[in-house]
Amino acid sequence: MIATHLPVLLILAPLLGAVLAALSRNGFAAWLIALVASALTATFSLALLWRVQAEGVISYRLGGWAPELGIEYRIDAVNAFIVVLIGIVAFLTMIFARRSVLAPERIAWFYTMMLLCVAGLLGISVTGDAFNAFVFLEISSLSTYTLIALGRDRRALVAAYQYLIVGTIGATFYVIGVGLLYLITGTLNLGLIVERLGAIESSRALIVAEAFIVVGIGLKLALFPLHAWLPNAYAYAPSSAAVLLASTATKVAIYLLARFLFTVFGGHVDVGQVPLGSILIGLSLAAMFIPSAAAVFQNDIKRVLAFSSLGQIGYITLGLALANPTGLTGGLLHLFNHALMKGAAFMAIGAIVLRTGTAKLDELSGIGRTMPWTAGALTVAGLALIGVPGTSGFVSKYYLILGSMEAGLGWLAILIVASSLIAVLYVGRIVEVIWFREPALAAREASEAPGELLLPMLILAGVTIYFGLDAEWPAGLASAAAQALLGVAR
Amino acid sequence: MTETFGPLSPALILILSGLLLPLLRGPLRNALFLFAPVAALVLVWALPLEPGLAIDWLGLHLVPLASDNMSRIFGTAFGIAAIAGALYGVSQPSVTEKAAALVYAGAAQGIAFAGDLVTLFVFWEILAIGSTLVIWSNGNTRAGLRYALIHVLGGVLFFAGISAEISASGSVAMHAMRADTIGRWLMLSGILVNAGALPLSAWVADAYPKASWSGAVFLSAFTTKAAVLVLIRLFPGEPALLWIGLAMAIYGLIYALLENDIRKLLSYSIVGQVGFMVVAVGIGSPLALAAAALHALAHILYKSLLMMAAGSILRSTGETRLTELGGLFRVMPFTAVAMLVGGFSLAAMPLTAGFISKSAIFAALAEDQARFYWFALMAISTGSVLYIALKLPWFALFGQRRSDVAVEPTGSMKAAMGGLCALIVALGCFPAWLESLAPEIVGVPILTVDHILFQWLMLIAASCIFIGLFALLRPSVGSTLDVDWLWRELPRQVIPFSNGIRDRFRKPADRGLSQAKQGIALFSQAFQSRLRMAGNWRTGEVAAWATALLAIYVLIAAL
Amino acid sequence: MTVTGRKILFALVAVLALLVVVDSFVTHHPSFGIDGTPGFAAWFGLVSAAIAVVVAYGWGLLMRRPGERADD
Repeated sequence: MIATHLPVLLILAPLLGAVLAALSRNGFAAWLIALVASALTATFSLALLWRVQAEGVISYRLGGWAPELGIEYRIDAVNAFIVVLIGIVAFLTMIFARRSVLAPERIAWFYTMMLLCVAGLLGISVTGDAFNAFVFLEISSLSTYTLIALGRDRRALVAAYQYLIVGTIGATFYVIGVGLLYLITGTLNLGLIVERLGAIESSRALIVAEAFIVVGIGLKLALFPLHAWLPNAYAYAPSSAAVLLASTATKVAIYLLARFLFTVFGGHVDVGQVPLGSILIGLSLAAMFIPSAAAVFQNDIKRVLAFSSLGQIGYITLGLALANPTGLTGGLLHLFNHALMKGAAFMAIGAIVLRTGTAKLDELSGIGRTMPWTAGALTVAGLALIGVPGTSGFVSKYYLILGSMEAGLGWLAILIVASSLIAVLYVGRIVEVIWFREPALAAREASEAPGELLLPMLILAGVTIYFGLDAEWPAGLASAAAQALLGVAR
Repeated sequence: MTETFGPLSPALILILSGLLLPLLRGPLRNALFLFAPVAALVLVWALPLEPGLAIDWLGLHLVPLASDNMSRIFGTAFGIAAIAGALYGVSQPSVTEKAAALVYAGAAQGIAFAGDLVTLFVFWEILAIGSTLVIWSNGNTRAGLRYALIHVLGGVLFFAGISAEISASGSVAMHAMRADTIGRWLMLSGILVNAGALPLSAWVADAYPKASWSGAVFLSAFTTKAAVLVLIRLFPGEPALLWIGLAMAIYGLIYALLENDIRKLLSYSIVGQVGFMVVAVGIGSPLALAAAALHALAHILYKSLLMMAAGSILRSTGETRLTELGGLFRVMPFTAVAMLVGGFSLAAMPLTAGFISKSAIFAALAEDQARFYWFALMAISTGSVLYIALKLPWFALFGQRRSDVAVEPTGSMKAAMGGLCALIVALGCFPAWLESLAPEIVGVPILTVDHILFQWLMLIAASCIFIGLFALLRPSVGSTLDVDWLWRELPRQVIPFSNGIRDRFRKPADRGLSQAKQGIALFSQAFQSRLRMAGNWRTGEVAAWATALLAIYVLIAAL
Repeated sequence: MTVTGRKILFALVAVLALLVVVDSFVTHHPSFGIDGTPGFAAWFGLVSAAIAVVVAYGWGLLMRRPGERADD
């Protein structure tokens, strides 16, 4: 009984949790609710993955209404992969979020917003309805604006406001594109859109629809040069919110982009003529180099990590642009691995901020002496960002390099390696300061992070190493997802 | 048998110890710093001579630990260099340098024992990072950056070559090859960058003297010799190596003869001596390869010793320029003896290790009837006597003293130098030891009367010329132009030059220019602050970009 | 050249001449013929060392710049 309703339970758990957390008005109770809700979500997501692997595509009709009228949740290898990622990261983040530095009366709201954000992100991932995806996009975005604004720094408000404006533009573009699609096909269900697109003769409107949707989602996923909202948003959001956003929010947007590019537009012959692939390669390359270079010059570690996220998003979109099985596997695998490593990194810097009150690199000299575990997790994450062999980052970059070779773009492989060298610079700077400098005042007075912060952080760091040595499970998932995406395209 | 050691390789011990080192304190740190290289050397000999555990990873057949005779020779050399270097530098206060030195030594061992191209590349990069940190830890960031960039270039070339090779052959195994495809040329040039070959050889003499008194000892031992090993494994008998090596030997000789700074002189001499090894690799016969390996071993020993002596002088007097030194024999006798022993070993004086390895190289050239290279290298070898066994001691150790000795070398420094002196002489007196290490050289006549006499005639002839042409050999303060002028000086020259041009055209267009100048200044200011403040865009800019992207996209679609 | 220099040079040339004489009494194992002739090492050493010094001196005249470089 429960098994058949898994897709909707996945959304309901965080949604109801959010309501309860809001009603509880008590920080600890709200945290407990959030923890239970996210634990349920993680369980459901794993169960869902297991069912998809066993039975194939799951179609769930909300309230029993058939598509066109009703909303369909459609889960295949691609969404199951994303959903598991969100479920697990959300659960670990909730453990981490126990130590909150917010004012007491705001804590319950904070957990409410975290749960709402998770619900929204999961909703985007499971729904098979273009407009429903927009609704969930708005749920997650609205809660994200609030989360960022809850940051202690006054600049958080500006960052939240900027993201609000940019996010709204993105959502509007997206909804315009969906509206055009509706005009052409008369349906909002993605499956039906694909079916009916085959019969469409004029592709003009379709191309415009694609343009709006791609740019709209591009804003959401911080595709270069639409990235400017992201660094400040991540830097000034509360630490645990930054973990959640960095690990999941942009990833879901990338999923949505992949879904539209491959499943929807890939199905139509004419759209293939638009050189989206080469545009996307160009933008991805720009993302791999320019924001990474900016990361080298940042002093705030959170901003270093945020800029590095922009660069890493470039690798993921590069995988999408390559559009061959190996390259796409690499892109999706990097999506997965990057969520884990960046989660670990943001958790580590969150713990450092909790103990020292600063994320400024020049004030954190020698923090490795007093917070060795935290600094160790940050180092592992940093090595994975570079793509050092033995970390998960290497495996996904390796697939990307193979993918570019397969596509006959050997120079791209060289650029992938060359851009990783920029990561050596910004990670090297952090490592040098936190380990090799004599401890500064902040470091001498700090003590190791509390257990509930260390546990999820070390799990993520450990998994980053583990998936670097034995990549079979994530690579299998990513490869299945890539095949699902490309299989429809053919 | 190998299974008992599992993945425990000399490389791993050293690298892990290097990473652990910053966490330790005081005596414990020094104990680990001294112990790790010893453990690594023990393991070099404990490993059986067979490929170790293979790991299938991402569809690649990796052999991270494969021991054979060649890896044992180089492993021994790297191991002794690490032990001696650690003993010598144990009183060095910089933690970064010590940690980086261990990682660096570990990477060299990793290269010696790598059984496939991927493992090789991984250690290759660790080697570059470790050595950069050793240089960096002494504070000269610009030189460290130049060094890093050269090695990034070498690494990228090497990587491109390796990926081409793997995608062409489908295998990551290491095997002998000729530079006959673009991919292999890329690989060869990547290796040669690390070996210090022309035209980029300038990095050696630029970077090594920037390290601390103890750091330079490590630097002189690993990078170039690891590159020689890789050449032995991948490109034995490659004809191009003959003239490349000869060019290196000539370059090293001429620049060392002209140099005033002891540690720069020794760095040029590294390039020259590696040139001998590269020529031997180019010959490619079993004897030649063994000779190259033994010369690498001997060179690591005597060059470490010479760098130690130079470091000791630097530490005691704060000076390494020959024009500012002199008469040190009386005040630093121990260091002086070390410098003489090292120098005579490089000059292939009989009864030193260098004599055996150089004899082996010439025997290999003779066996292959490489007449031209035999005579050319013999001439260069005679020339190198001039700078290492005559000029260096003459101006640094004898004559009038020009600088004060502030601190005595520590006991551990003396122990390291003494140990290396003893080893060099012992290896030279008992050629059987080196013969057992590389059985290929057993037939080479070494300690025969005519051979020893030959070498003595050479040495004395060179001494005659040294005295006779003394006026031409006097060191002078200055620097010799090298290819690194292109990236060190040219930018500085071009900017005033272009300023000069601007001045000439200034009057007619003064106004416009000053406006443009302001504009450029504003722009560059804006650009700099932009990079720092990147991401602090105005919301409108983001929106504009989004619109622009949308417009471009639709436009392309419409056309 | 100083007086001491001249004395040292004289002594060295004497030793060299003596060794050349000794060289003509030992059996050689030449690789290329000429390198087995008595005294070969002496004249070859003199010539090649002289060439090395002169070439290096000439190169120094061309490429040696006085003064230290900015970040040496």
